[in-house]
Parts: sequence; C-alpha cells; structure tokens
Amino acid sequence: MTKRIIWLHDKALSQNHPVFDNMNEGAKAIYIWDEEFFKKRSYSFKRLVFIYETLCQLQIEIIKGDTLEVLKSFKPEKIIIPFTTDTQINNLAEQLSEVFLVEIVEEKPFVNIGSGYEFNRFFKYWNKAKNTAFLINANIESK
Amino acid sequence: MQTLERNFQTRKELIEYVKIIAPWANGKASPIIGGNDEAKNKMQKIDPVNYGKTRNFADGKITKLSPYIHHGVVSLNEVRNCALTRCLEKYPEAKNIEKFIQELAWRDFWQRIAKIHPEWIWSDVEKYKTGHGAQDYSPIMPEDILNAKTGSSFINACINDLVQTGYLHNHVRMYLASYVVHFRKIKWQAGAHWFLEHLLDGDEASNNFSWQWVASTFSNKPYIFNLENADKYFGKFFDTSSKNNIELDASYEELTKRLFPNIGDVHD
Repeated sequence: MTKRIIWLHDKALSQNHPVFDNMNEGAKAIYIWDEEFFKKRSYSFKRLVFIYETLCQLQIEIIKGDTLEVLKSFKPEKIIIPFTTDTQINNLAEQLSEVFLVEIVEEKPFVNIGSGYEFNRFFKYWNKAKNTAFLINANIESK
Repeated sequence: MQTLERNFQTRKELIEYVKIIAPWANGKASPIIGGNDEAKNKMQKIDPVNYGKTRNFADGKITKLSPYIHHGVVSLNEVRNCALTRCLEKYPEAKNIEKFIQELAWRDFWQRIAKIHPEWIWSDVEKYKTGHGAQDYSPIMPEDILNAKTGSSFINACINDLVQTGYLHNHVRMYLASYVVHFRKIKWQAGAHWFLEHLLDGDEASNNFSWQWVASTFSNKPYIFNLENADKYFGKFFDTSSKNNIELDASYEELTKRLFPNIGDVHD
C-alpha cells in the first residue's frame, strides 16, 4: 500500500510544483494516461505528443488506465493534486474526495492581492495586482 | 493498468509510440516540442522590453511560452521572475516591461475568475452587446471554417496555422474569434471548443473567457477587425489582398452597420 499518491494531471507538469514537496514524505507521483479523458476533450494528436514529451522529462510513473480505477487501486491514505481550474479534472477530484482524503496544492501566486476580491474587468484587477506584479515572487515569502 | 515507456532515442520514436497508445487521435505532431528543456530554452530568449513594442506584429518578440505555461511546465511566477532578473538591471524602469508583465497578468486574471465562478467557463457571463440575442448565433461550426475553405485567404491561413502547429499568435486568435462570432454569427462556445481541440496551450479559463471578451459576453463591446488592420500586422506573411479577402475589406463604420445593424458604433 502506498500511503500518499501525487496525481499529476496535464495542467501541472513540473517537478518544481509545490505538490512535489510531499516526495520527502514518501509519496509516489503518477500521471494517468486516460483514453476516455482525452476522448471527451477531443484532444488532437499534437496536443497528446506535447504532453507525452513533457511527461518523459519528469521523474514520475506514467500509467495507462481509467483515472479513478488507477487511483483507487493504490488504496492510498491521501491523494495530493495540483490545483487547476479545469472543470473535468475538478469533477474527478470531487469524486475522489468522496472516498479518499484529498489535498489540493496551489502553485506559488503570481501577485499578492489577498482574498475576498472579485473583479469582472481586467483593469480593476490590474490596479490592485500591479503593486506586486513587478516584484520577485510577488514579494511573498516562501514557507 | 499498464506502465508506459518513458525513454526514447529520438522524437520520431516518441511520436510513433504516442500513435500506438492514442490510435483515436487525429492529425500530426506539432513542430513545437514539449518538455522542460524546451521551456528553459524559450525562457532564455524572452525579450520583455521589445515584446511591449512589437507584440502585435506577426514577427514581434513574443515568447511562445504559452503551451508550457498552460501545462504548468513553467509557472507565471517563474516567467515573471526570469523577466525581472534579465531586464531590471538593464532597464530599471518597470514601465519598460509593463506590457509583458500585464500579458502574464491576463492569464492570472482569467484563472482567478474561473476559480470563483467555474460555472461561467461555458456559459454567457453577460448578454451579447451586439444587438443580437444568444439565440441568433449558431451552435455549429461550419465545414468551410473547419476545413480552411472560407472566402478569405487570410482567415484560411490562420486556420491552417491553428490546425498544423497548435499555436496561434494572440492577435490571430482575436481575429479568428471575431470572424467566427461576428462575421459568421457562430456561438463563442462552438469556437472555443474548436480552439481547445487544437491549441497546445488550450486552457478552458483563458481560452473561453477570451472568446467571451471578443464576443462581448464578458466585455463592454464586441471586438472586430478589418483587412487594413490584418494587413498592418500580418501582411508581410499572409495574403491580405483585397481581392482574396472581400468580406473583411471594409471600414469599421461599414462593418459595424453590416454586423451590428441594431446598434451604433462599437469601434474606438
């Protein structure tokens, strides 16, 4: 039994993503080559080649199969997933959270504008964002 | 459940392998190479100062990093940090790289909207401001657009770029989206789905909200362009002759009357 699984999806294909901080605690990182997922998206061949080329440069295992079945087969204590706004991936994450403990890990933020703000037009956002957009790491201290 | 191969001697071998594990997928591989190594190469070439001056032109100093950003190979934070490190010593005035940082911020903006309102990704955020209702737009992409056989040489060349490379200059994305929604009266959702199929950087949030920005369902007015504009920025590389682009060859006043007969001027 693997206690922690990092489920890397195709919106976070980087060894630098904070989700890999969990590798120190013995987590296993996998990418699932899910035919049905790709077919639902109508991904063209060129998109799939781009993804596969990127996967081959990562220290992860690439497993072919159904996403939910593959993840369930590990019987993990916890599944760690990089944050994405992708609706289909988030639906899968929600289904997983009904069975397993799921942790969503966000990328380091681009700007520091705090929470609670809602902008419907770019320049309203920009007026706030520009205060930290020109600073290394948006002047946010690493944990 | 099967563990897949990761080691290949050549790109050709890798492409052959993907054909085996994805026999249903249509098309050919893009000349754009995936992976962290290629992303690093592109990062080393970014020119944020000249980007601001030339980004609207076909041969402008754009980075072509978007497929790598979309797949998380590099983050917005990393690209920004790289731009600052490379440029600020040379150009201490932040305004020199404002356009570059702002373009990264557009992606951050769309992601933040999608996080708060995932239900907006595929639905009209606001009403069309074109004088037409949503019901006036077709949900089906016409065959002549899918096959790059429209009446405009310029538009056909843009479509061929999309299908063959999976990458489009941002300005071309706006042209194509405007053509689909406003010149052909197709729902933005149909166009957005078509882009997501092909674009290596096809991201639901950035792509769909940008389509909505062009359509006017997430902006104050529709985005339109004419042949003169296409010729100014892309005439060096594409056929922007009047005789092969009759539909686009009009002033903004004429286009507004033709495309939006129920409202007044929408172009600045």
